[in-house]
Amino acid sequence: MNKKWIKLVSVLVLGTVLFLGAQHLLRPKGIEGDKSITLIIEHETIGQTLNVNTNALTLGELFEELHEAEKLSITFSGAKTDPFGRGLQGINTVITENMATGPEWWGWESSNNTQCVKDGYCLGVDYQTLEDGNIFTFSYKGFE
Amino acid sequence: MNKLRGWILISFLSVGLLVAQFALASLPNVELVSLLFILYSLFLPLSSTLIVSLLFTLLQMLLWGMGDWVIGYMWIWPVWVILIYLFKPLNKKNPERWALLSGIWGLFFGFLFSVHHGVLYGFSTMIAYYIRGISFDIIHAVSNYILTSLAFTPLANVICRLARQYQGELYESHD
Repeated sequence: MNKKWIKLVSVLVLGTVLFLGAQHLLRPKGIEGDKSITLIIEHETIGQTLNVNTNALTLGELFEELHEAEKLSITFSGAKTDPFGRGLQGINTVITENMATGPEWWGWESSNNTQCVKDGYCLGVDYQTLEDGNIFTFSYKGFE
Repeated sequence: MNKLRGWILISFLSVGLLVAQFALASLPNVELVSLLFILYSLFLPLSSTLIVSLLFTLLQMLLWGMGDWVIGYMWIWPVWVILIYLFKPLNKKNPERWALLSGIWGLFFGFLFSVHHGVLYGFSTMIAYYIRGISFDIIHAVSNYILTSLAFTPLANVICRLARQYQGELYESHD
């Protein structure tokens, strides 16, 4: 292996280590324990409000619980290990066929989740941590 | 080169950026756009490359729709173009130097975008956006460095030969 390739592989290895380290250190830590969470789904056909008690640390884990309990049918895109975590592709029958082109996607906001309020936006489902009393509102729309 | 041929070239180069961006859109923060701007600088004057960067952003807006990122791209890519022309006399056609600059730019890109978010949404959003994006800035920096190291020389040879044929002059004339 010549010098150039050794340098490139070294940069790649260093970058991977730094990336994984940063991902680990900066990933929001969830709060353990029982939490009461309200999910408001705004949609003309599947709209509903769910009040749930959960030990889930993230919105993604909560959706897994609700899916298993058959309270909601959740479709994810991608994998937990993806750089942005999984995407929320569908709730019940309202599913985005192509996550790249939409034209509509599920989005969410919260007026009382500390991180959402502080940052001005909520994170992806696998990064969005939950706090007792949080209310999340989900809506299905395109970017305008 | 006459004006019409110049505008045709600028249009094609803008579309070339869009195609390169779209082709790698599924890989977070891995892009060829930074490298292509360097290559364009080898045969285009600064003003033309700046126009290419603005057209590229407009084309992206047509493809992906309007968003706050459009305003960001409108000034962040021109900043990169200006940096390239500032470093051009120093870097010449040295792939190592361009790879290093491109890597640093990858790391800096997220910071500039967080400044953009700070101006639009406030200081706390800027800090949050920057911290959450650090890991992706690392991907951006490493991928820029590797892609530029590997692809600069072969692409520069091809693009300069094509430019010479099209423009009928040496690319060095814009140094």
